[in-house]
Amino acid sequence: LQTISKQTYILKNYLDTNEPELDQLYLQHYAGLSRYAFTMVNDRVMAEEMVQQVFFKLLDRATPIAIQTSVKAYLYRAVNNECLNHIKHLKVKRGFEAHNSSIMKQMPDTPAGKLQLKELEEKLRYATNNLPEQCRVIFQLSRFEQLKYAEIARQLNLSVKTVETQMSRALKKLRVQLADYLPLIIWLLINMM
Amino acid sequence: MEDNYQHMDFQDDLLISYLLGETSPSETMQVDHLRKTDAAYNRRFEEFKAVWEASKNLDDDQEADTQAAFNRYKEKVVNRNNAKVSSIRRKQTNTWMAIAATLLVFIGGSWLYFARFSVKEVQLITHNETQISNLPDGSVVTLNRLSHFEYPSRFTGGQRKVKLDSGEAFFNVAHNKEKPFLISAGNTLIRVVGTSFNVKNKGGAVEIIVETGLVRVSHNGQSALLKPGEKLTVNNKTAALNIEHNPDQLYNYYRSKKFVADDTPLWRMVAVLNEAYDSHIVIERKELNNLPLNTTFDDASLDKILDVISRTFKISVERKHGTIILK
Repeated sequence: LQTISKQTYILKNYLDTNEPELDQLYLQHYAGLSRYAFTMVNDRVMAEEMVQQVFFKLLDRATPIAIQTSVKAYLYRAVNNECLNHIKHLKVKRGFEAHNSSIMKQMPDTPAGKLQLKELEEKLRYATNNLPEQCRVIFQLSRFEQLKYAEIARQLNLSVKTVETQMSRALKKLRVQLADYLPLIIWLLINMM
Repeated sequence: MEDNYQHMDFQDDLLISYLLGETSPSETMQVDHLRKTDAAYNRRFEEFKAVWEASKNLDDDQEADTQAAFNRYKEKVVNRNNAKVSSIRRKQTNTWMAIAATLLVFIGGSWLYFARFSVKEVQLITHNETQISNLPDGSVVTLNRLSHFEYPSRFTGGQRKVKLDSGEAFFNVAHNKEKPFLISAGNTLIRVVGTSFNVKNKGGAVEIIVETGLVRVSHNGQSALLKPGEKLTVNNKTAALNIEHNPDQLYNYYRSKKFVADDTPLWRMVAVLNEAYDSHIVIERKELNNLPLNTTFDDASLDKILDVISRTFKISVERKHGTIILK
């Protein structure tokens, strides 16, 4: 497994878009990519669809794609853009507020505390969705795949310094954006422990 | 709080590295010390920690089933390829063909105008082969052998209604909250918005296994909500809805062409084989019933499977008048 996964971390100047190659990439990166999409769209079926769309688009390409970073970074970026498009589409379709309230409506019986937590989650999701894409991918890999700076740097073909800078940029931005909610978060964390 | 911005910014970077366990031992000591002595500094740390902890909730709490997702992906790739073949053909048509086609459109236009208002019922009946079929809304249905399925050529109104008259089918329903997808199987009604699940209708006795999403099942005024990994059986006599954890992946055999036995009791394997191969296998000695089988048969013949079973458990296979006896 180690040798297979190494392949896609290293810098390739192009990505072959033939079916067997893409199948391999799908199997290898699906778990991480769908998770990433889920944090953005908050819907498991939609998250899968997002990953599928990215691969369909790759399949449709007749020529290999030139890429600057690693294949993994490229795929995360593609999923990121796909999700942003989807979210934009949703907003146009029914307005973001309506979308938010429909999520609320799905659980009418939840106690107030849970409802607040849900609202907080939406804010946090919104805030992370507004992070620059590279920043967000690094945040994701650190948060949900629990990778160390050095490991992230290797997989995305970046310097450790860049990873460090982007990580603290992400957390600083989130802290500022969630400033109003911080007392609530801290209160919830203490009370749920 | 932000008055000494430059200084604070540097400290934030260090705090974040510390929070993520990326600091060197001496840096860790430095931060530990500051947290103890400076309350404002410690509060700032708590804030970052809170953001970090809260962000955990954004994650999907379920493990992704890569293999299942991959199968669904490949299914769609095949369908797309089929669609593409026809679009390539269209490109090769020449000018005269285009003119002829334009005329045809004019003539056909008026006919189509009326045809639009009529919705045809499409019947799918399988005999010895399984069949994958695309519905007008983008949902994909995989029919097992000996199944009878009906759907309209176009979904009108606020619901997508289909019917599984008999047999078994796997549904991968295209997500559409506005138009719920309804399947009637005998007296049982299944309602979803966008999920994948297996339905078996054997003379009104209905069994549903959910792979992804939520599935609402109603039968004779009773109703239940099914989650992934759950299996519901409708008892036709008592009309009770029985929900249990789905123990194995065997129901999937007609899509994957694989029998996956994972601590599966022999009786269960035999039941599935009888269904899949139209065979009549019986277990003669009761004590053989619960022998656990652990293997995967990938597109194997019945003879081969029986051979493996007989060698695994050191039991003999006897054939008599179309009946296969394990003893």
